Amino acid sequence: MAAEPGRLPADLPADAGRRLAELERGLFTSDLSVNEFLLVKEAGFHPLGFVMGSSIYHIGLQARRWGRSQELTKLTSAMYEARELAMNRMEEEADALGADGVVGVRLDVNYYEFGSDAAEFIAMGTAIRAEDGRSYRNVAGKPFTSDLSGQAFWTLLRVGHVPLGLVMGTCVYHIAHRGLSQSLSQLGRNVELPNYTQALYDARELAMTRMQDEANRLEASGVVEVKLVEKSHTWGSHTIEFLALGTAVAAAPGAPPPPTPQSVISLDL
Amino acid sequence: MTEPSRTARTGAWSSALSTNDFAATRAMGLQPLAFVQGCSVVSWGFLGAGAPGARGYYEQFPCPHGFVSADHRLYGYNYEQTWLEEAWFGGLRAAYDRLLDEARRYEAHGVIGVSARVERLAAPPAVEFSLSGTAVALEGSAAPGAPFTTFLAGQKLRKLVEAGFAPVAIAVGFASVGVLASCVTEYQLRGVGTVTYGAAPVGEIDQLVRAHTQARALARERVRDQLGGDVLHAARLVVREVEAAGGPQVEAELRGNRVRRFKDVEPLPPPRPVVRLVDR
Repeated sequence: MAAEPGRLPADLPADAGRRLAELERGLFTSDLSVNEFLLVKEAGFHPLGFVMGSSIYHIGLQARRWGRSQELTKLTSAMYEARELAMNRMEEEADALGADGVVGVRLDVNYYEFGSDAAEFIAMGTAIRAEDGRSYRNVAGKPFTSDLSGQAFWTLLRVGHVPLGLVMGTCVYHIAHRGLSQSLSQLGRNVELPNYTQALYDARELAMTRMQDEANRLEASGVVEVKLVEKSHTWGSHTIEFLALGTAVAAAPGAPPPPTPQSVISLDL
Repeated sequence: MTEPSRTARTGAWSSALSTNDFAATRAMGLQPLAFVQGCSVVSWGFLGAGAPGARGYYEQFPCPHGFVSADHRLYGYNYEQTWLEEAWFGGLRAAYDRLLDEARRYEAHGVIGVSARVERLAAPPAVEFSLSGTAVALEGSAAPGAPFTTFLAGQKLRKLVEAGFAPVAIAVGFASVGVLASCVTEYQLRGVGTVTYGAAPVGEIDQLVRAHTQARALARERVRDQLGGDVLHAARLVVREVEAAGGPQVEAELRGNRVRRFKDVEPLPPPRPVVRLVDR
């Protein structure tokens, strides 16, 4: 259900209320390109407004053992929760506009000089609503979110699928240092380092599994455009965040069979 | 390696395919099953090197000046770094086998849109080989024992099949040639000469050109060995120079798709004008 006009969730700033009120009067803003706008309209949706959510989060410390590979669960929780807060606020803005979904969602992390352990997590995208009045909200009753472009959104609908939500899984992992005896025994040799291999493998699997769990909670049939992003942020080379991100989709009930794609030979350079 | 916790054919599938590639994949009757990966971290060392030229390509470039002084190099040489090549292939093979193992657990017919990443890790002197792709199954048929693999996905894969070729496996060749510069090569690389021997000769840097040529030829030869009578499609050759302690190293990497003809050639459809709605 959309939020009542004029009533804004408590965690959104007052300025957001004024901006959203202007959007409700008919003007829309969006970061869609002209081509994306054209295809979103062609798909039967109308852009309502550019929506965003932000969270400045203090990322604490967690002790790690020099010689042991392990997940840093507190950091994992922090990175997940901060993104989730930003995403929720973006969804609340979309909800206040009565949107069915948000397309072209971008998730960014920024670090500022005013706080060495603090980071700003931002989610932004364009809220859209179906022109035929049909609801595209997901099983949680929220507007769907998706990092698909306007073109990809149009294509997805054409092949009989609908987006349900932007799903993510994260894992902050500390990869053990080699001990002295291990380093000496492997000095100069070309050998596999099984502890490193296993650590990277496990961390990616954890991130992927969590992303798929989110998709299952949305009763999705699949996740498209999965990206696996690895970043050390400010923790040094042995601590890495693995972030799996994709758009959960489901087959649309009663959708016509997908058109057969035709091969074209592009004459572009 | 422990098995991944994601289980086969339960819940939502995942795929690294773009939406366009997903649409084309579904139109071909292929169902995405899972995002699959394989990785291997290999220590990058010097042991096993032996004397330059003990194995593989070796070529000398003598000094034209004769003996001048003890610090004047009498000859330079190019040498194939077979121990690095073996480590490279070992790491890639381990990652590839793990990718296939995952695909088999999902009862996949193949892995499409394979992405191969070779990255030097900062902390230990090591290299990570990481392969990932989307495991797919052909609807209505049993899984083969050995899934096919291809770098292609979506429209490109569809065009390949339309042209009568089926993907077999990815093919990757790698060669590394070390260069210990002769005096002339060194002058040419620095762009200066000496008072005694004159300016650096203007023209081709013969020793470096030979290193590049040999690295390319070796990488190509290795891919040809993997083809087994099939065809290489959509190949990409990358040659780079890496600065190392002993001098430059020339690395050549050739990646392509091993494909096999399964039906006769059909004429391509006539070109049609299209309006592209893709942002540049």
